Parts: sequence; C-alpha cells; structure tokens
Amino acid sequence: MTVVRQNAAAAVLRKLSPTGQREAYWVAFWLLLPATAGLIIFTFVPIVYAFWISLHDYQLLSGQLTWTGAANYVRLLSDPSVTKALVVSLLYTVISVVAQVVLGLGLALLVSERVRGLGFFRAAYFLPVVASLVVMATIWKFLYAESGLFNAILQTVGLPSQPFLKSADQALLSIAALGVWKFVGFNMLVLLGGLQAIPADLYESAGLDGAGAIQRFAYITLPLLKRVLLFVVVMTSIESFKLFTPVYVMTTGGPQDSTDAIVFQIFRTGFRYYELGYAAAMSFLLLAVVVILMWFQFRALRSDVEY
Amino acid sequence: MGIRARSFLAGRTLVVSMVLLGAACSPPGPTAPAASGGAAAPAGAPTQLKVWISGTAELDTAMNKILSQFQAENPGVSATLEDYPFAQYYEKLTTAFAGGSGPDVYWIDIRTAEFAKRGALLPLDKYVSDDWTSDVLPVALKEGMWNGKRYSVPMHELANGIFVNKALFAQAGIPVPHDLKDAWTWDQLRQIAMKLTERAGGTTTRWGFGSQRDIGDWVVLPYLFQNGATPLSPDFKTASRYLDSSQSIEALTWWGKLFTEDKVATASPAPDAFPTGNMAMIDAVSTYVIALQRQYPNLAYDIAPAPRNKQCAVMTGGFNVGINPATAQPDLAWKLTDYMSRVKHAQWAEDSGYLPDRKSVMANGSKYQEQPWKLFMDELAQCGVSRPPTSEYSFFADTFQAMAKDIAGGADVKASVTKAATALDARLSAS
Repeated sequence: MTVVRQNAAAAVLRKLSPTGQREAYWVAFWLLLPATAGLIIFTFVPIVYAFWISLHDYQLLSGQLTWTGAANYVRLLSDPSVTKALVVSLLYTVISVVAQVVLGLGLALLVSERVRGLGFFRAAYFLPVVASLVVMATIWKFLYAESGLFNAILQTVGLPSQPFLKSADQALLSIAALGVWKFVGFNMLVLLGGLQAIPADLYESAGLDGAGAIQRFAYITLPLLKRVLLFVVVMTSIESFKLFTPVYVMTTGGPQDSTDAIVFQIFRTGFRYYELGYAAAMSFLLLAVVVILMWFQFRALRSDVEY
Repeated sequence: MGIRARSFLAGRTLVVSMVLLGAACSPPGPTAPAASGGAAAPAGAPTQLKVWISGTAELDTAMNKILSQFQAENPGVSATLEDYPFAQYYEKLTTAFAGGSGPDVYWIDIRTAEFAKRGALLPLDKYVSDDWTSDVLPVALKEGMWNGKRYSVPMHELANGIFVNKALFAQAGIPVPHDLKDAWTWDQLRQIAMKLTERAGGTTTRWGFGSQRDIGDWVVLPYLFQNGATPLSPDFKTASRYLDSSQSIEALTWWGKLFTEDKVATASPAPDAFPTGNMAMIDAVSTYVIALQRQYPNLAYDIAPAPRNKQCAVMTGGFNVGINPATAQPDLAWKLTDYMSRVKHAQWAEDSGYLPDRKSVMANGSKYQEQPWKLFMDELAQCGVSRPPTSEYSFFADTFQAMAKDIAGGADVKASVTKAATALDARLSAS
C-alpha cells in the first residue's frame, strides 16, 4: 500500500515543472516544521537534558550541578532497591499485558456482533478509560478497605475478608486489577477495529470447509490480528512500566516494597530526596529495559500474514 | 518521493532542528533561586515580599490579618500570601526553588535541616539573639537547627492527646484522666481499647483505638520514646543500635499487636471514624479540637493525656518560618519573620488554634490555664519530644513509615526494623 502511494506521489511530482517541484518541497517542509519542532523541543531536548543531568549530582533545591561522570550509573548497578523496583514493574507489566489482551480480545469478540444495544456496552466498557486515574485510585482504595465494598461482597457470599492493599501478596494484584479495569476498554476498541477489518468471506469459506469456531479463531482471527495485537501489547507494556499514580495514591510502595514500582522510585528519588541526577540515571535504565522488551515483542509478534 | 526531494526535506529539517537543539541545549548551571524581591522595583513601587504557608482557609484569614498589620506598620512594603495544602506544599516549594521563583519567607517544619543543607534557607544567627530564644520552649527550638546554626524560628506548636467518646466511656464506666500524672499506662490503654472494640461476625463495627494521622513517625515515635528508646544516634547519623535496640523493638512489638493480635486498631480507618462513633478513642493533635468544633459541634468528647510507659513522651512539632537565601530583602524578610513568629505570636495562637511556643504567651493567656489547653501545654513543656531533625528527613520519614505500616500489617517486627535500620545507616552516614 505504502509503495503504491509513494509511486502515485512521485508521478504527480514528475508532472510539475522544476520550479513547481521546488515549491512543492518547500510547502512540505513548512507543513512538517511545526510538528518536527514540537517533537524536538518537547521530546528530544528533554531526553538529552535528562541524560546530561544523569552525569551530574544535581541538587534540585539549590540547582547545584557537580560532574560525576558515570557514577550514578555505577551506583544503579549495586542498588538492590532499584533491581527490586524493576522486578515489581516487570511483574506488573506481565500481569497487565496478559489480562488486558485476553480480556480486551474477549470483550471485543463479545461486542463485535451486530446486535441492537451492543453500542451501550461498548461505551460502558470504554467509560473507565476517560475517568481520572487519580480519582479512580482514591475510590478503589476505599473499595479495598477492610470495611470496603469488595470485602462486604465477599462476606455476603460467605467468603472471608481479604487484606488486598495491606498484603504483600495481594497488593500488586489489587493495583493490577484497577489498571486492567481502567484500560481494557481502550484495548477492546483497538482489537474491535482489527476484528472488523478481517474480511467476512474468509470465515464463510472456512465454515464451508468445515472449520469450527475454535479453528476459525485459531487459524483466521489470531493470525490476522497479529499486527493489532502487537500494537496492544507494546502500548500496554509501555503504559504498565510507567505505573505510578495508583502506587502514589494507594500504597506508596508498600507493603514490604511489594508495589514499589520503578517510576515511583524515580519520582521519590528526584522530588523527595532531591537527587535529580540519580533519578535521571534511573530513567535511562528504565528506557533501556523498555526498549529491550519492545525488541523482543516485535520479534515475537511480527506478522507475515496479509489479508 | 524521489531521492532529491527526500534529501531536500531531510537536509533543511535537519538544519532547523540543529538550530533549535543548540538554542535549547545551553548547559544549565547553578542558579540562585530568585525570590520576588530580586529585581529592583521601580521607584515608588512597594517592596514585595512573597510569603508561603501550608494551611486552611481559616489560617489564611489569620495570617492575612498579620500581614495587613505588618504592612500598616511598614508603609512601602507589600506582603502577599500563598497557601498550599500540606500534601503538595513541599513539592510546590521544591519546584518553585528549582524554577527560581521561590518565596521570600516560608513555613518550614522538621525539614529545616534538609532545606538548609541544600541551600534553600538563610542562616538566621545574626538576627536571633539569646533574648529571642530564651522565651521559647526548648523543644520548639530544636527543629530549626542544622550543623549548629539556626535556619528557621518556631511559629507554633502541636501536641497530641487521646480524644475519647464521652458517652461510650460513661457507658463503660471508664474514668478519663486529665492530668499528666494520671496518664494511662500502655496496659491500661490496651485494656480500654479491647473493652470498647465491637465486632459483628467477622467485621469490626467499632474500633477501640486509632490515630488521626496516617501511620508514620508522628504517630509511632512517641511509643519508642515512652519506652526509653530513640530512633537515631544523637548526631542523627546512625540508626543501628538505636532503632533496633531492645527497647525500640519492644515498643514497636507492643504497638503492632494493637493491629494484629488485639485487633483494636486499623491502619485504614473510615474517614471521620471517631466523630461518627466508629472509633472509641483517637490519638489526635491539638488542632483536632478546632476541627471537631467546626464539623461536629454537638459531639461530646473528652481529652486524656497521651499514654506513658517508662516515661512520658508526646510528639510535638509545628511549622517554623524560614527565609529564602536568594531574597533581595533579607533584613526586611527577617523583620516580617520576627513579626509573624514573635510580635504577633499571641494573636496567631489565638486565631489559628495552634499552641504557642513562647513562655510569655503561655503565662499570660488565660485560655492555657483551662482544659484542654492546659493539658496540651503541660505535655509540651514536660513531655515534648520531636522527630529527628536530620538533613535526610524525608528519607527517614518514608523508611520509618514503610517499616511501621509493615509491622501494622503483620510483618515480623525484628526483620522490618533491621531492614529499616540498614537502609537508614547507608543513607544517613553519607549525609
């Protein structure tokens, strides 16, 4: 498709005079400039600046910068709390991605039928996505309380109360539940788009050949959804690694550091302990981990299947 | 698109990008945080002083009254007030200093040493004489010191008491002490809490005991002090052999059992559990009196002194006032600081509901001879202890809080304390 568009654009340009071509290039340049400038100023410059800070001891209150070279990165390698925080973030990411992909696909399959009234459910599943995460985290903190709604429901059905956020074994899962509830609607919509793009005649043909529902799902739906699944997995992974707000509001890293995610630690190191240089170094470590994770995801989910 | 077109766009975009990158990438250097009085004011314009506090609308009114009085006595000076909720106050201060727009005069609490070490507070020794400090309670002066120098002066104090539900206590036939010498022992407090805790099925419908503030150093440290322990060494650089001493572990074990074995307290009480009858006793600060008067004027409650064990210990502390070292008007900033914290101290204590920390105000105020204020003032004078004024206070507070919450959640006390002490040693020894 892209090759076809490029050839069509080249054909249009070839019809113009040299002056006309030059004008067309300048128009393209000026149209691209604002977005490029924005990207450079608000994305790349802060990254370069953060790297510069990571090579210094930067005291946030006084603004004092002392060159330390790679000392912050050396310190990272021997800091057990950073390793632990990365593990917590990775664990959360795995739970989140699996739950969101499975649930998101399930919901997308449910709402993909052309049945009257399903539009309401599509909107209902998407509603948490637009709600404020800070507000939702505050509300869920009360829902998880000893006398909260979740325990009231458990007791009503004869099950024992659970500690949820007060248990080192349950706290991260409790936060993951909030994250899945909050964002699964978005993934549902993306996967729904992917499902609706699969030509119906493929299913008809398969049906005529005697393929059952599971075979159609395994051999038609999943392969043709691979690119969309890659998008969902990558975006969910990146968002999950950035876990911060629920930790800040609900657990502040506890109990027993079980929810001490890496971004929360970066925030605390930079803005509570005033070590912005070390916090910047942690950010680059996180960037490296996410890039490596994404590389593996691209390799695992690359698709050579076309419609 | 042909190769030539791509080269054209790429080339020009790259050039513009490099220009933008170069313009935006000038290396940062140390910046002195500029305060509002930094630039020379136009002739005839009033001298501006920016004041930051953390409080409520009522505190704003009381503070604005003081600033208006200061302005009336100092024509040509304009003092403006900004107020931020406590949860955001220090983040706001930090980003303001980082951006070079910090206030001239600002409230600062136990974090005085932290801010002083990082160059965000002006040393005040040349302004604060022995005369100035001799009228102030010794416990109130500790928070404003770092490395032997004074960086902030006390504005007011707080002290804790055990607020009790009068009706429940009368029903249970439990008398409420009002004098320090009659304070409940640990065992008495525990027995009362167990007696007043109610459960229905697997749910606690009324907690016997709780604390107004979130679990952390303010709430838990008094128990260490009451048992003869301290969290850190006298130079605030070592936690081992202090935080993990046998007295400290004994205190934390006793406190933790309130949550795990006795189940008379919860780490996450419902909002307003005490005034709504879901909690029989609450360990709260002195300003809780004002909050209850305002929100629950019909609630019948009483106030008992904080419990004691080997000795009495009541957490005290409050806000101090400090000056931004980058202020262009240090002498004027001190004049305002002195006005707020000394000249108008009696008025401030009366209007704000905070406790005074000046002996002259305590002696002359009839309010402080009556309960419950007399109890709070006695606690302040005789049993007051403070959090450690270490230059790594935020790290200490977070580590201690995490340890205390883990203990309240049932974690092994010794393991939790050892972990906290190890982390604190690594951090504090380098400070």
